[in-house]
Amino acid sequence: MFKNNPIFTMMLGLCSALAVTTTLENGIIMGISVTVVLIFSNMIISLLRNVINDNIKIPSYILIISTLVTLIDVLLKKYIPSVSDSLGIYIPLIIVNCLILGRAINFASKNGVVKSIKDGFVMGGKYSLALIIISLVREILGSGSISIIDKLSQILGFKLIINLPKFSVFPNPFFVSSAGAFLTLGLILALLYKGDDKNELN
Amino acid sequence: MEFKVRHGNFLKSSNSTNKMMKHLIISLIPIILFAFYKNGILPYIHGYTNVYQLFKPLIMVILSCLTCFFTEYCFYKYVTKDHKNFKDLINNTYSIIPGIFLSLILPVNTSLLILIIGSVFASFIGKLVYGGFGHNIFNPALVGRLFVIASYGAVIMSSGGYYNIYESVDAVTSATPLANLSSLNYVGSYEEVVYPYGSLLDLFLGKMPGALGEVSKLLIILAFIYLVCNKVLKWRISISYLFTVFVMSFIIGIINGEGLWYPTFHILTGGLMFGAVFMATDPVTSPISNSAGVVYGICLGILTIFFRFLTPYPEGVLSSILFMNLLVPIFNNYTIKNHNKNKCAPLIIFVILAILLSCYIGFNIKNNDNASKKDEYLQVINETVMGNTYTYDIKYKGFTSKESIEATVTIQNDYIIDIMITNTLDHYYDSHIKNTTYIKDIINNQNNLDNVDTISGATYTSSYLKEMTKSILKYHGDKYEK
Amino acid sequence: MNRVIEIGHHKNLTINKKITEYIKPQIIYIPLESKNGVEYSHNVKEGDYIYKGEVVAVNKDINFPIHSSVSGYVVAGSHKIINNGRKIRCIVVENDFKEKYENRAGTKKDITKYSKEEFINLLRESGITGLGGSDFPAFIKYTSCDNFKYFIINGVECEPFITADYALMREYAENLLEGIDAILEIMNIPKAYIAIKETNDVIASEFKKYIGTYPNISLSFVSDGYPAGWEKNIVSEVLNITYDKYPSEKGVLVSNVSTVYAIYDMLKNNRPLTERVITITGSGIKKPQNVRVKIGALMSEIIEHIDGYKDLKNPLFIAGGPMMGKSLPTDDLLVTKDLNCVIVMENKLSYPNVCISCGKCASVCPVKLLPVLIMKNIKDDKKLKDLDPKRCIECGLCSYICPSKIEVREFVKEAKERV
Repeated sequence: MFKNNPIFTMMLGLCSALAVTTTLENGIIMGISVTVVLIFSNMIISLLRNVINDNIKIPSYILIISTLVTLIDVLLKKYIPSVSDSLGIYIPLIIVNCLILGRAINFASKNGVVKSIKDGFVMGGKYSLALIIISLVREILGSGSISIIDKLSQILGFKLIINLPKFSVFPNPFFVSSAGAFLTLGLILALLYKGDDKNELN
Repeated sequence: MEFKVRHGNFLKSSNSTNKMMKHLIISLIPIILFAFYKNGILPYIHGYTNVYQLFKPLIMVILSCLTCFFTEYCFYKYVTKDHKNFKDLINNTYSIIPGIFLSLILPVNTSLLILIIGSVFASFIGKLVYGGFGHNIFNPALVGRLFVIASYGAVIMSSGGYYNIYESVDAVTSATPLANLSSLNYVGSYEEVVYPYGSLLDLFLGKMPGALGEVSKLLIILAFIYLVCNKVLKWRISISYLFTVFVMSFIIGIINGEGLWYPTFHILTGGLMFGAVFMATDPVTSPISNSAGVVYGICLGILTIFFRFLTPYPEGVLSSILFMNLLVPIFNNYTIKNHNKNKCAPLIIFVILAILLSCYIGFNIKNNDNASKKDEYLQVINETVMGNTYTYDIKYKGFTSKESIEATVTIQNDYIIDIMITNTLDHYYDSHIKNTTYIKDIINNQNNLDNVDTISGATYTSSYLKEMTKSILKYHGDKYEK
Repeated sequence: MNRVIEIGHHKNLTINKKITEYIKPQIIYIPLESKNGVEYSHNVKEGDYIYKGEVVAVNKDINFPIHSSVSGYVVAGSHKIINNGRKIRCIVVENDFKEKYENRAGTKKDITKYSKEEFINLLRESGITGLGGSDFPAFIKYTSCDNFKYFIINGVECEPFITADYALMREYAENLLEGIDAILEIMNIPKAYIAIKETNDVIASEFKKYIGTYPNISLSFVSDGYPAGWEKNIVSEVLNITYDKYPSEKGVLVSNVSTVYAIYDMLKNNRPLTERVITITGSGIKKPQNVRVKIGALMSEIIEHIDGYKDLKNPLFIAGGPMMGKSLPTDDLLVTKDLNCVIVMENKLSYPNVCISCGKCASVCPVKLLPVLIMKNIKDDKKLKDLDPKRCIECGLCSYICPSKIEVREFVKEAKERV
């Protein structure tokens, strides 16, 4: 699961990853959104790979991806506005997430539809896993609770928040801030690469 | 006959890194003892604390040293497999130095658990991840302090902040001197700025609240002289840093009409002296050549003044030193290219920048001051509305004090029709103004009050009355804008 | 230019010793290469009998000879170490202890009666080189400028442990003054200065006894420190003149005291250079002293003659002074014209620590280099070019003063080769 991981080894899409992982729920929802966009964009680009001219492939890919992202943004705003508020500007920023554009250029434009869909699914899954790990750490250390269903309670009707006991030093507001995000990512990377003398993860 | 071969030269001077660090620790001992006396012994003698609080400053220092030592031992043994024994850790990697400094720049009310976490962070992320001693980019004690204040600042402030128990008994305010200064819009009279904490001499000797090691400026200056005589420090950085802050705050004070006490106050508060002597001159994280050190000190001064005056944070030393630590490679590269040629250009640039910035800040403060103070003088106590008529009960600053004029003003259709002075402590009003047509003149000329002359013999009171009229008109106009 | 640094003189072992002599070596080895790369092609073969002072080899490019310092039979060729550590070819001559010259030459009464061309020719034929350590042929230096304005005699000897020049000046002050006066007359130089350390009272009083009769020669005092004896420092302190590469650009002639004494000997007795004074000192020598030895003698023999080594656990054999000298793996060292000291001392091993960027090496460098930045950028060629390590004079002050005991000078030497 950690080989060729978009965040931990290929370091793509870090900006959105570091900004939204303040709670576990935000991380899960962002991961699902990126996975959906990735699957569909891979499918469409793979279907059109023989039609699009090589010289204009990048603008046309961006057009396809932005259409999908706008679709998802509008859907979220209508049905789960609280989630859309908490993720804020980072849903539209999925358009310029290097992961989606990168997979489109490297994989979807050269392989068949089924393979592309599977690749989108796998890559999106790895991205979500990375987001889940980072947001777990940040939320446990930063706010002392794990919120699995908080903002989604609008459509689901119930909340699922696990509150951990608080000490004087335990919820450490540093990890909720952006500096803490970089620190968490750095420590996780250090742990992952610890025994990696042969560059296996890459 | 055979001999062994050794490369290099065969005569070595007697100074060594061990000796330099020993001198550093020796110079810190009076500061630690003073912190023990002020925060431990004094409250204990006056019966405010128990034995644990008596020894807390010493416990803090020793605990942070041990934590840093233990962190480095674990790191070297379990992470890098490069086993160092205890003697190595003390003599070659100097693991306890960040511990001592970190404990000296935190307030005495820090709980021990916070101190331990901070020491681990400072030693690990401030020093070890960069490669250990000699390879770090940032000052590890400052990194630790940044983490502690960012994460647990609220916890520390709620358990007393910078005041130990003995001082908070008869303290006038609970803010540090710099927080007090920023709430007064950065300039004020001697009484407002300095007096709540004693006199300037108290600030110098250390009878003021603050972190453990930062309060006693006299001991810091003695330590500085001791270290310079033993050729341990890069003293040019400290001197240019303090000089820049002094000159810049002098210019700001002069523009706003304050005397020489104002820059002296700026030098003697906050962690400036401790930071300038011990933190900025850390040899690993400061530039190499002497002339680059002078420019480095000037940049540090500019940044500190910038952080103190133009941002909401009251204290700027920590951020400015960490920021300039990041820029040290630029200084070194510039020295490589230009160390044979004339080096005056960056010096002149930064001196001019410093003077310009301080003039800008000074005039900015003066404008803010003039604009906002007059509105602060007005206090609206009561407001009654009847149709188109608004009746205000107000208090305004007068000659005697901030609320020495009490009046009732009636406004109808955006025009003052009556001013009645209900009470005043300015006795010149009774003697000179009450029985004249002055109030009527004000009401008649309320839109061009500069035509009304003040009454001689009660100049201040009469001018304050005019200001009051302008102020209440503006208040009414802002509130009920059509 | 930075001020000189006081590093202590460490000369107590030999400073008061009179010059002894060991001029009866069994075998001498005449070097056929010098440390500057000057090569001599020999014109004798095995079995020849040569006289003392006979030309044994000549450098064809500049027509510069090297002489035998004893009389005897040529035995073989061999390889021996000289003071920069290289093994060179040499001619082995077995001493017959007769000290026979080829032809008698009388002593000249008035040594000022040479013409300038005769003098330069004599310099060339006697094989006189810079005895202060440069090993540069003197006749080239003395013709590098047509009219010199000043003549400076370098008697500073700033490097610790060395007392060879000091002993020479103490015992032969009068002869030195005579020689300087002769050179002034012959080369038509108006004024001479003898540069000595200001703390050298004994030497100053020795000179003052005789200097009154020479109105053109005066004593000049230089501040006590290292590297006070560096050419640029002396010219700047004595005359207040700065130059670019060589002092002859500004009409200044600088010579070491031992060279001047050798010139005096040559003028007076018309004999080539065959002997010189060296200092053998250190805690590993039983009887440290200043010795006059033959050029080409082997150090192991000389040290054995002066009662040998003390028992040290880890001795080092250093040719030259402690700051600029080189440690050698064996004591089979040839005495060449530029060797002035041999030290045997205990090897105090100290492991270097990490560099703390204190900047002390940059503040003591006499040529204003930045050794710490050279060390940190040793792999970056572009930055090394800006740092200009070729100006380094290898004085060793950066390694001396480093608190972490790092051998900084070795990095600068490596950088010199890379650029």
